[in-house]
Amino acid sequence: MSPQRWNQRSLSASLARKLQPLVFALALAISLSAPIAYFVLQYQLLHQQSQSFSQRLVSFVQREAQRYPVMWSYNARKLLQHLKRYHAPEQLECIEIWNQHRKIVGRCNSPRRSRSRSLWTSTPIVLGQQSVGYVWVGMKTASLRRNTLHLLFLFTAFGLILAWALYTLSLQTTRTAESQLLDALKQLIQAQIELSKLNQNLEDKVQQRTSELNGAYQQLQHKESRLRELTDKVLALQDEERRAIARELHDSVGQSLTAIRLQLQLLSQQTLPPTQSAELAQQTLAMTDHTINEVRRAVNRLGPTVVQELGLPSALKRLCHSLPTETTIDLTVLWPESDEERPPLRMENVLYRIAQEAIHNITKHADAQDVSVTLTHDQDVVTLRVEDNGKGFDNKPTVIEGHGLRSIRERCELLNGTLTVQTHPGQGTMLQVDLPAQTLHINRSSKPNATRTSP
Amino acid sequence: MQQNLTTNVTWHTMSQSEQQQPLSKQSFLLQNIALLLVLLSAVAWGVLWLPLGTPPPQEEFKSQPQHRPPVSSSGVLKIAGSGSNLPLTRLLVQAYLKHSKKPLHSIHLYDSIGSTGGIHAVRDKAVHIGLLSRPLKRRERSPQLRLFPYAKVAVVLAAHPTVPMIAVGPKRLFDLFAGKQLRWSNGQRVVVLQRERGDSSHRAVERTFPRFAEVNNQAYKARRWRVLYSDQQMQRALLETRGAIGLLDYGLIQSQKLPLRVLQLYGHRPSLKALQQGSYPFAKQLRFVTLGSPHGLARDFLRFVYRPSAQSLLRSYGYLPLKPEKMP
Repeated sequence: MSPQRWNQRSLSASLARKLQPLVFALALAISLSAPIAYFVLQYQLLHQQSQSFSQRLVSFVQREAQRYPVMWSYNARKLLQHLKRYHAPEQLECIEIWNQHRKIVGRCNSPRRSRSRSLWTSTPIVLGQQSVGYVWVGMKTASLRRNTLHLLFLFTAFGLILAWALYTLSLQTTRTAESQLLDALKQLIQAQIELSKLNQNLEDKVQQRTSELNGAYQQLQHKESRLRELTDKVLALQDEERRAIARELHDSVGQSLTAIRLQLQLLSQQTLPPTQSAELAQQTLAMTDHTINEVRRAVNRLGPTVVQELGLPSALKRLCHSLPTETTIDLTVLWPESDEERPPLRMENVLYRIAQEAIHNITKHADAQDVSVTLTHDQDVVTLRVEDNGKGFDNKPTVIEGHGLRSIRERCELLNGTLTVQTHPGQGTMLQVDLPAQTLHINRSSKPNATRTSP
Repeated sequence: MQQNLTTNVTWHTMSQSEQQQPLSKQSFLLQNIALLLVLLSAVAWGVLWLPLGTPPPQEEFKSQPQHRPPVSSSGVLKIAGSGSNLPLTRLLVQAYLKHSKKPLHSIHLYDSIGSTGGIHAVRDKAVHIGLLSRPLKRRERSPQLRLFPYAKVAVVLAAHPTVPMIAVGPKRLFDLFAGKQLRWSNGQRVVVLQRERGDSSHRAVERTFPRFAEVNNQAYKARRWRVLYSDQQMQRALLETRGAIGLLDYGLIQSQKLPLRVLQLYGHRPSLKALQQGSYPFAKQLRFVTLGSPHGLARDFLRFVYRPSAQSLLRSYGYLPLKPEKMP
């Protein structure tokens, strides 16, 4: 037997056991109440009739006894017949007149059956103050007993039918409800099982998808890492190339120009002024100086050799001096002195490039009066902050970033850093780059083999 | 997982008493039904046999020795019995007292107590002489009782003077008692007066017309007519009720000169001659009954009754004198 089936039976059985005494009491109450009520009421009525007739009989007998003090008892039978015919109630069974010695002196209709089945009442016959006899009146109880029995059978049948109907209907209803409840329960269990299976499948799918996503994410991370490495290499190659170009410009073009300048200076010293040749030599000398400056500037821009040569703080100081003279510059640098604590050269180059790009943007677009450059380094993060009070710009996401800002962001992301730009039109610009120091130390070993060259 | 779910849906815990077999539940139900039926059977038995009130003790109908008078010591002759005998007996007593010159209180003639009452009074020695208007019943017969028939009287159908009839045949008589004729020819309502069952006058007619007993009995059962319990009541009712008829002694009418109409029954007219010849069929004997042989005043009175003077007195009132087998 399954637990559900067991419970169903037990619930019905429990209800049946609790219902049976109630049904029993109900059947008993229905069976007995009406017959007993009928019996009691009819008995009282019969008793009252008997008493009333007995008293009436006694009054007749007393009258006869007063008329015939001795002979009244011998005429009692006729008297009884007369009274029975004209004054007796319908249920009269028997009348007996007894004298004071408890002997029957008159009897009318002796009971056919047992005397105990009649309802008897006795009334004394009092003559003066002396009791001269008794009148016994027996009433028929056959109809009372018969009707009571009929009622008893009728109400017993009715009570049994009603109790049985109540019992079976209650049990039937309970069993139906139990069956429906059990069906619903089975469906619920089935649904829960299916739901658990579904959950299991879903979890498996989620785990599978998660695993797939993790794989894809790892692949993506791997690819991103590869991409970053490639980008790093590209940038490194680009920097290296730039430095090579700058070195070439510095070593070959710069030396040539310097030689040309020296030759021109000699030529101008040998030519007397104010000749036209001298003037031309002076002009060529000036043009050569300008070209040398331009080459030097190009060298500086192509390869930050100044970082290698001077270090980042001094390079930043020199960079700041490239700003127009009317611009006020506030440079704050908190930078470690020892080489162990300093970030790798590559990172310094990145920071220098970012600062160089920011200052280039300020010079080119901001029209700023005050510029503040702050470089700090602590245990966790390296922060470069460049502020100005220039025109600012619209920094909405819809606005396409310029080449300089995009270059700054790419360089920042290469080192897992974050770029924050706060600006509004007319309210200046604040640019802050936060680079994780951990990355710096990790990447310290991967310093590019850059050689410091002088401009 | 499924096991856990099954455990969760088990909402009912079985108690030890509930973990029973279905057979036990059925037997429990059967026990209840059996108990109910036993209770109802007990109630039914009680309804059938339960005594209602205390019945009187079983006692045979006996005569009353406590009424036994000191017959010889008092010197008063006591006579009681059937009302049919009373008028004639009263005349005889008066004649005896006149003849014997005894005081009036020496003979006490009681009112009617019926023939049965008279027999019981004699047996109880409450009276010296009982008056009988019918033969002794089988259960009343006793060697100690001595019967002295002294007169024969015709039973007639007497009617109130307003009844427009002079003769009644058997069919008319049956129709009247059966209630088939409810009006006389003058439009007056028919009133039949009956005596109680076993009355000597009715028996006298029933002997001749057995069917009359049947019709009379049906009238009793149907309570169709008024029933009277003594000749005196019958006499009074016939005199007072218009359109009334009833059986009565002819001697009673003659002796008291009652203004009643005597109807011929089946063409028979009552008379002493008819009684003596036996042609009048509706008659009854009047008897004295004593306990043992009479003596004293009773014997004197009885001997007086059979004297010629008394016999002529009987005839003068329409009674036919009779002689006993053995004189007192």
